[in-house]
Amino acid sequence: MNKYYKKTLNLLEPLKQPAMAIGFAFIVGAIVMLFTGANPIEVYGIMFKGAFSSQFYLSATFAKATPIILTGLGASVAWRANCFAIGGEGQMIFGALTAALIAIYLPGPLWIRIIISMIGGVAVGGGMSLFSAYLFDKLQMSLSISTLMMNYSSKFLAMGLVVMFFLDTTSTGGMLKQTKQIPEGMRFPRVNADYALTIGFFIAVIIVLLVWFLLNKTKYGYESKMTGYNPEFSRFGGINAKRIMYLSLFISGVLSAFAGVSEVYGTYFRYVSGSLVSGGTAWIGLNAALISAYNPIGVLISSIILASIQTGGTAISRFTDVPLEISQILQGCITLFISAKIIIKWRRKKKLIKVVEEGGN
Amino acid sequence: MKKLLGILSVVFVVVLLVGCGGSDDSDTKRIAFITDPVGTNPFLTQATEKLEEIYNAGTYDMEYSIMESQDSGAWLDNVRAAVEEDYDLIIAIGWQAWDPMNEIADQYPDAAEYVCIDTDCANDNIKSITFNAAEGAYLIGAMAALVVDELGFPEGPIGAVHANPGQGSFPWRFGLMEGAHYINSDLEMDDFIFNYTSSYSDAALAKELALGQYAQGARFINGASAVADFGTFEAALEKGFYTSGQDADRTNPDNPYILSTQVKYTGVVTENIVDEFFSETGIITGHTELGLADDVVGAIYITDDGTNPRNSAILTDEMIVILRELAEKIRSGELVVTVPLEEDYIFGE
Repeated sequence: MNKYYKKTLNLLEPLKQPAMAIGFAFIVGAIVMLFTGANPIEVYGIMFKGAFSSQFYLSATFAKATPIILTGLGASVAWRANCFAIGGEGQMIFGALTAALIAIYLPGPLWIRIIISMIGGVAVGGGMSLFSAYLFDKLQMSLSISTLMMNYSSKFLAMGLVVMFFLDTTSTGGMLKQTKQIPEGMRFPRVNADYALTIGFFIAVIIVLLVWFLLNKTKYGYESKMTGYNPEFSRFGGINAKRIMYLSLFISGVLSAFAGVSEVYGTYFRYVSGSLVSGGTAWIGLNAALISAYNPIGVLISSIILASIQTGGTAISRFTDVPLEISQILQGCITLFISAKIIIKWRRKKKLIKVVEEGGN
Repeated sequence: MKKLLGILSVVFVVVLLVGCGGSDDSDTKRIAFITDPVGTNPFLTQATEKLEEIYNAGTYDMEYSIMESQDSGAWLDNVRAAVEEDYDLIIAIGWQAWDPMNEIADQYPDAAEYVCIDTDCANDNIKSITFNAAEGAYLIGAMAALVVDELGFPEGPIGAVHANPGQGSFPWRFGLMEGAHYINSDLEMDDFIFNYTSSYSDAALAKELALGQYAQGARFINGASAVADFGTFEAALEKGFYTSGQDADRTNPDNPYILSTQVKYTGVVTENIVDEFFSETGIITGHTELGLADDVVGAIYITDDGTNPRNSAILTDEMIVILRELAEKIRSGELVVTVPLEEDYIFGE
């Protein structure tokens, strides 16, 4: 009995931290709801219904999870290698804009336009990330600052480009800052015409497996993991930390940019200024990466959970009077409890160092 | 202990997530009202309050749901879900409705009746209602020119703190400039200062921008950034310049500097839509632009009586006569206010 109990515990071990974070977040959410006079069990029930209860809702959740998975993978690849880049949003924006513009304006057969548009989109995202790596390498500019600043500049630069050169004046009379739509034949096909889910989700799942393979079964994966654990030690061990940094950030940029590309091809069918920012997709992706401790399979699962909080959150607004912000409180709490985990780990590390310094007792 | 806690947490999440809300089926008509987060934005609250009023009055056998959409993705989710959840009338308010409503109305033309407020969806399956906001802005512009003239600053500058740059807010800028130019043909484009909050709620930024415009000499600053206008009003009270608000009557006996409000009665439009839905004809699709002549757009004290007394020391009876004559010209069609594309616009035509 004891043996089986232990085995079960070991199996559940990787789920413990995310489950605790999500569990505590739901408890805090419940307390907030009680203050607003709502019944938490009823509201969580509606949330579950709005996220998972039918193929329709499940497909909406998977569709919403798609860009989160991709930005989550992007963050995982970089953060795992000790590169704390937070430029997923900017890379997503320019990935999306580049892909949309190539798809709309490039002449030629659709399949060639699809390929060039996707490659163009991810190349721009990867290039932006590489630029941050270069700034860090040559000018010692903090990765977090340069990538964060690029998020802001990308948002406004993309808006300016759309308004000045690529504004679609036929829809909404130019009221919304958006490009024209990409041709119908280029869009990701829907799994079922009635549902929001497109093949984009399945492409994301394949990318999850590829990234898992890259991180766990290749030399790069081992080196990036070692660099993440201890950059100095890995440098002494013969790992070219600079190469790992450039490579990790490039892959990270490519993945985040593909999140933007997938939104253009599967959700909006055009670049809509602000659409990739307003939902906080890149930040939720980072959240997913943190929850799963940069494990690609974990990113997939936590992205679906985080997406379900969003789709469930919109269901709350449809079915109850509880404010929409409840779902945001839940997400904020999850981040909070996950960061608590980081602090605990960091404190443990410090304690360990202290013990070693004091003579290993 | 920690492991046990972990397992308990997993169990807690699962237990909380299990369970479903109920659904009902009857002849009751279900109305979905899809919108940006409502908050205290009067453009939206007028409509939601009207729905509540109609529901409480019990005139129609109906129920309704306000579907607030936090971001572009939520808009798509909510419009699609409204069809899936068998709503009979789907009303979407705002420009963001364009893509999702077009997509869904094309895909499911008979699943529900579709109405877009404030955007022309240009779709045979949708009723689109837009406002000629420029007509109201025209009156405010004329008022601004009269007021600055009275204050001894006939050459302006006339300030404006608006929400967004681009074509989206151009009707407000266009109306303001053309209205002021109608009163004082010596005004030039450089005599107007426009700043943007990029938000409908950032009152602190609006105040900062308004103070900046005041420092540049503006003595009338038009507020057109929804709830953020409260920042402009506060700056007006501090510095003593005159201003005007947006959407629902913002005049305030405690702040005599708010001279008027450019109104857009979304509540009236919502009521008309619900009445039409329950009428024999049902929703008649097509595009309608509503303006001064339809009593859904206007300016307080000119086309509507305000709820508070007018600051007649500044906005004098003589001015009101001039402005009402102007409103009558617009209403009768003698003066047509048509907004061009911003890039094609030449000031003073």
